[in-house]
Amino acid sequence: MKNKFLAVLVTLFSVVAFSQAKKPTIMVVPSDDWCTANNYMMLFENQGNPLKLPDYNKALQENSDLNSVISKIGELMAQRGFPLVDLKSQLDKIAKDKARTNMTGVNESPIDVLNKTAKADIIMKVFWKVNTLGPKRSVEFRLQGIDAYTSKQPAAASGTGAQSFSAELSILLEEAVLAHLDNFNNQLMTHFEDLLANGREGALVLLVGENGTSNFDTNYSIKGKEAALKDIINRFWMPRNTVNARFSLDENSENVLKFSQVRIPLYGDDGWGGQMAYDFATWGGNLKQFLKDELKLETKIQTKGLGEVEIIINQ
Amino acid sequence: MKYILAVFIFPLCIGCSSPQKNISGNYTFKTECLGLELDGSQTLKAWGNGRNRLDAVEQAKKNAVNEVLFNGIYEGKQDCDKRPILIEVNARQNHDDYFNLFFADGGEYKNYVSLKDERIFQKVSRDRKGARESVTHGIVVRVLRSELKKKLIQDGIIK
Repeated sequence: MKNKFLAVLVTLFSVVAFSQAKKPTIMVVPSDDWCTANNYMMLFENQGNPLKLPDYNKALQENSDLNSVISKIGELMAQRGFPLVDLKSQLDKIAKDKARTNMTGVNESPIDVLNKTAKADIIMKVFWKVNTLGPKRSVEFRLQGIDAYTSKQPAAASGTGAQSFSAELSILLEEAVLAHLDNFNNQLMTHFEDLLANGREGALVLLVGENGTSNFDTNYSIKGKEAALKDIINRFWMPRNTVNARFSLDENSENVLKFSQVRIPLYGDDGWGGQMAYDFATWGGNLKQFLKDELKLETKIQTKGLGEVEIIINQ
Repeated sequence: MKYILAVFIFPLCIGCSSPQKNISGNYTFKTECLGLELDGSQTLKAWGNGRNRLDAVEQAKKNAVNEVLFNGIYEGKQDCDKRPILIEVNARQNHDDYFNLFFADGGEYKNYVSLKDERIFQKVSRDRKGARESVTHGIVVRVLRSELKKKLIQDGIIK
């Protein structure tokens, strides 16, 4: 009798343990304003335009509070079953890869390169500031979850902790992280469940190159019907290759087609009848193949970060 | 005296026993992976909603096959294949006529799902979750994934 009772209990507990969902991969980074306030910014020249970007390497090497916060968040997220990508190891990986990566022609910032290397679904930006009022101290804390593909903010939590006379900064920071993390995680999971149901979100940009005469108003014939290239892409290819035909055409001219909120499937054909996980580069490759096979158009494809693919025709 | 007591107590009973509002059956439960059989089939905990137990159980079987076909299994144990059998974009809409027949009551989906992994005590309640006009039941099913794939190849839905 006792054994049967135990067996029933074990089965019940195992059913509870089974209810774990697939969780998004997360990378914790300091926020841009924290980096600015603490002088961890660098100047990056993006095709002649100077751009200020956070210098994560310098911040990680010099600021031990940052390391503590990142490792505390990492510890708590790992306890809750969220897989984490370590910022420092990704930066080291990029530094090692730099020697053999040819970046010519690809206008990606170091942050795009970091996102592409880490392949984290969510970039968790953390900010804190110590407020002092006489002898009392409190920590203002902010967590922002940024979708690495779309730069949208699906989750955020912020607030100021209780004022304290005696508590050390590390304890105040720990309290702040603990206070906000679970609410933040719930929002993240809602976003991730939407991804699973409706596909990954990102953008597609089509441009006309200088070699050749065709543009997006040039007529082509497809399935026995003649239409402008922009219509073939917008009305024929896109609805057939996006989840529930969800995308929006933001810019539509003879030289530029810009699609945003493009939902691509998580898995797709690898080209030889097999299956593979899709990212925007692979999905864009299907469009490149379509343009080549059906319309005899030569194109060049390049990605920007994780969630944007650029296809240039006449290349 | 008894009658007088009854006259007083009866309305009190009615007043005190406000009907319990069952709403858990309205919640959408997700199909979870319980494990792999390593013979191409996977054991799932599937949920279905219907007007009665029989209807809900049949719906749960349909939902299990539907998830394996079109969505993949993300919940529960991480052993099951997360990739759906049909990776074609908008496959359900593209093959609507075929799958409407496949999932019709008494349709072919029944050949690819079995209840042989369900134990006796699970059969008794089947995780009943009540709602006002319907009921949701959770059942343990085995979905024959590889046979399902063969069938779709045979019928020309996948290559």
